[in-house]
Amino acid sequence: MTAADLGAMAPYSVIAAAVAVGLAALAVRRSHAFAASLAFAALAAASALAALEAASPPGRVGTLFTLDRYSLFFSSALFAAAAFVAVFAYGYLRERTDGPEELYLLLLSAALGGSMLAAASNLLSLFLTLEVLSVSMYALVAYVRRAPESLEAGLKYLVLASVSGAALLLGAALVFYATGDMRLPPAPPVPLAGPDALVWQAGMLLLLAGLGFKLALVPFHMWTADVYQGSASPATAFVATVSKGAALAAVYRVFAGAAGEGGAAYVALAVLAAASMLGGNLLALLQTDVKRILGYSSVAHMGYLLLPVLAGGPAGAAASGFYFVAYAITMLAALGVLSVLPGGGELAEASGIEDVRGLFRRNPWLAGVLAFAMLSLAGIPLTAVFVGKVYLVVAGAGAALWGLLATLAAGSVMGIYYYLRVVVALFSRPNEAAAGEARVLPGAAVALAVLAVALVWTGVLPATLARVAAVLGG
Amino acid sequence: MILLALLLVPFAGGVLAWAAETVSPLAVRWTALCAAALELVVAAVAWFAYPAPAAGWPPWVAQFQAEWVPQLGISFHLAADGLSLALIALTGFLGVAGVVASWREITQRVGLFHFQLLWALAGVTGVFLAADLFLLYFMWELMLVPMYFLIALWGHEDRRRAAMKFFLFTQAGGLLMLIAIASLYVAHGRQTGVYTFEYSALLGSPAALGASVWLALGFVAAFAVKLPAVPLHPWLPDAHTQAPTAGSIVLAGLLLKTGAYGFLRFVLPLFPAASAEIAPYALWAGAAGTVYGAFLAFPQRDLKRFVAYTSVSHMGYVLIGAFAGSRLALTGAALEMLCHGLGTGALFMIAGALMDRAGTRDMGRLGGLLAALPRMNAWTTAFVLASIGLPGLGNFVAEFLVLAGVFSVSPAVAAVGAAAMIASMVYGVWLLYDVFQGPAPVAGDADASRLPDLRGPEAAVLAVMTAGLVWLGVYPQPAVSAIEAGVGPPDVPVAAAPARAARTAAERAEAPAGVPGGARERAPR
Repeated sequence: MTAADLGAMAPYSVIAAAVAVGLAALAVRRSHAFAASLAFAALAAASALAALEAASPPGRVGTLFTLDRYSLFFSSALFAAAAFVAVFAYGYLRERTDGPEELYLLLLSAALGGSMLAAASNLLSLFLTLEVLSVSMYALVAYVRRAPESLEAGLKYLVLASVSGAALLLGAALVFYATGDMRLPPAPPVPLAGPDALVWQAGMLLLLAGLGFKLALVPFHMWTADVYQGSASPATAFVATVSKGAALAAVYRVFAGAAGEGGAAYVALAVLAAASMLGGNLLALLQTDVKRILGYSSVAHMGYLLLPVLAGGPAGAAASGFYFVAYAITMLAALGVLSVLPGGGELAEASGIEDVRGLFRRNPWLAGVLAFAMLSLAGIPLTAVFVGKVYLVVAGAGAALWGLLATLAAGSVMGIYYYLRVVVALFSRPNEAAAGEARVLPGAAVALAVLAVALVWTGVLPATLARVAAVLGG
Repeated sequence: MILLALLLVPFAGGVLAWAAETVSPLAVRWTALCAAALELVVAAVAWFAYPAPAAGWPPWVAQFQAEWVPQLGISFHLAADGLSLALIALTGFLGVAGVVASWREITQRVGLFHFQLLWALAGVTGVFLAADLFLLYFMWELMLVPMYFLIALWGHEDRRRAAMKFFLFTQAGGLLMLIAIASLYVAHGRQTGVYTFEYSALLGSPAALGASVWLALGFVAAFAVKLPAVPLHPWLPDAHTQAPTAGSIVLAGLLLKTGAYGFLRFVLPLFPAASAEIAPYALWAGAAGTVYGAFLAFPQRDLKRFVAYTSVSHMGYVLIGAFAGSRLALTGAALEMLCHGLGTGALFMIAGALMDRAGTRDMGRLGGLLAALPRMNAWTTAFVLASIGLPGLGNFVAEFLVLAGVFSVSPAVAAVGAAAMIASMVYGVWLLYDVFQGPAPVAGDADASRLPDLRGPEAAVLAVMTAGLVWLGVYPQPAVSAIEAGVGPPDVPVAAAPARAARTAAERAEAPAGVPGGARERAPR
């Protein structure tokens, strides 16, 4: 690694340094406000640095990472998402737990692992960064440890994530065995026949399984609703945006184009995409809890997001970048609202559909943001995901993926049903037993306002984001 | 710029109306009324200020274009010709009717209601103005959401299910259209190197002309659900019945018209060859709709459901007219859109007023209201006569043009369509007898003689609607010349190549290219 390489890694170094500073500060004096502001400042700075660097991307850095426009775009987005999570976490933890400071360190290290996963261009760094992300997340998911749901979610996540880590490691080993090459995207062995090719195909499928767990693609989706529901809402927001986005960028890096049409991994990707679109939406239909709905709907949205991976090329890169950012803004807004709603008990959250019924009467602003987020997820105009969906369909049509496009249409129609159920509940007559007033700290209020504006801005004037997304493939 | 104003008036009006709730519900109603009326006025100004259409096709009288998402070749392009402006004027007028109809009926969340109502109108206006396919899809989806909430929040007893059914049907059609739009965009880009959603660029593009039937069917799916064409109509009776009165007026009067407009403005001009292949099926779907709607109207005891099924019947004529392949029938279809918008809007308004007074829509429990409600009886008679195609009222002219136009193509379809008109007379007379002129039901639960008759504003709106129908029926020429040039593909001659659409696909494949006249000329090869 040269000095220039170190400079190029500046966005990531900032986060690593912040972890060290935060840890040292804890030894001196515990301060929730300091820990939260340190995390927020570091993440915001890292996001800005990554965005600046994307103007003239340095390309491959050392042997392990590639900082191109795509990875820097995702890194910047993931840092920004984590910064929002930090803001929501501050208000949430102040109410609910003692000793909240360490959460921000976990948040920082998880964000670091996630964004470096997006930049990994070697099987070694892929596994390493994925584990940094996963290990931080085990504790993050179970952080409110007095709440049994939180512990249950943490345990489920731990078991399934370690299984997926093992699958990924085995896949990496097989791919390396077949080709003797650890670079990403994995080059197929030449000639593509014989036992080596078989091992390579098996390795690619295991890599897909490992990353598929992180994305919660069907059939690796079992953990998703429980973890979404059980975790603290800010942690759920982290799972839904940072963790998903990092895994998505990795899937794009490993599989876009390289898998080759007709290859085992290509077919598996297509099958997983279709199964996730249908399965996620079908399972979400049955839920009565907003966080569980968001969990299963995220399965479907990750299925949609495999379309640009299969399509590849500049259109695919633009579509995956645009859609992910639109989706992340929406999910942060939705889970941000849920994180500030007062729950029934000391630790409980008010995330059932019955809990948010009539919220519009009690708190029109929060209800408005949540309603817009739901409409965005449903792909309704004036919101970000609507434009994202157009991007996906354009990319899919360019690659003639008619079957998956039809599945996407079917899945979206199903999605309408449960998203609108939530929105109608928001505007209906309130429940008798509704909990007290929401106490929204100024920071969370500003964050929600920013997210709501971004959500509508991206839906009405998509050119701002489209300009950035357009060059991702180049 | 005036087109931008057409779009902004209902959007801004909706926001203002909602904001006016802090003052009083009455302020909300007046704001909404003024916004809708202003829409009507601006549409009229747009027509009279730009009397000479631009050269080329469609004959735009006004345009507005701004950059939107240049990375994807999307521009914010509004354009209007006589047909769009006529439909927007109808939008403004039915908006006024909707606000008047809601004056007494809506008492809960008045601000939000009028906001949704005006935004639904804005979405409809956007569809009539869109000259960019992305904008079309944007507006197409945008109008659904407020409509959904109008039904789901202010509707009658089974509102949630009806609203959801409406949304799922239209959303499925819309997504298929999105896929078709994207495929057209990609195909056009590959063939010409220019990636654009611009309507005028795609019009006559080799990609569109050579497009397979599947591509056209994506558009057809969206428009046929909205129209609705049998068998894609099951959402309609529920949605119309459960919606509040203003919702029913907007649904029947305007949302159905966006489907018809889609056929005339997008399917036929963009895909002439594919349209010709679809035409035989579309004609029979239309004919089936006319008969099916009329026959299902017979047994309905629910007044609003009854009117809803007559809509299915009337929109069948529009479908026939759109695909008959003659300018005569196309003009008839466009005229039918206006007449049906006025006539059915009025019938729903009356149904709402009746329900408001008698407390029921059940025709079995209504009856003998002639003595109590003489004015309402008179207006109902007028609109029922229009609906059954009485000469001298607009529907007659429109349906006659459609049937005359389709006769040369397929006498059988024309015969079925004409037969449906007979059925419509029976159900029309039946309605009048049951509700007004027949005997009162034995177990009437309210004292019918105490019911208040139509109020002044309601009667005024109905009077204007009647005047419109009489004008379209007696002297349709001004309206015809305003909308005629813009309907359908530009090269359908006044007397279309006979029997073109009726030929089977096999015969067409063998026939030499370049059948004189008609859409085939534009096809490649």
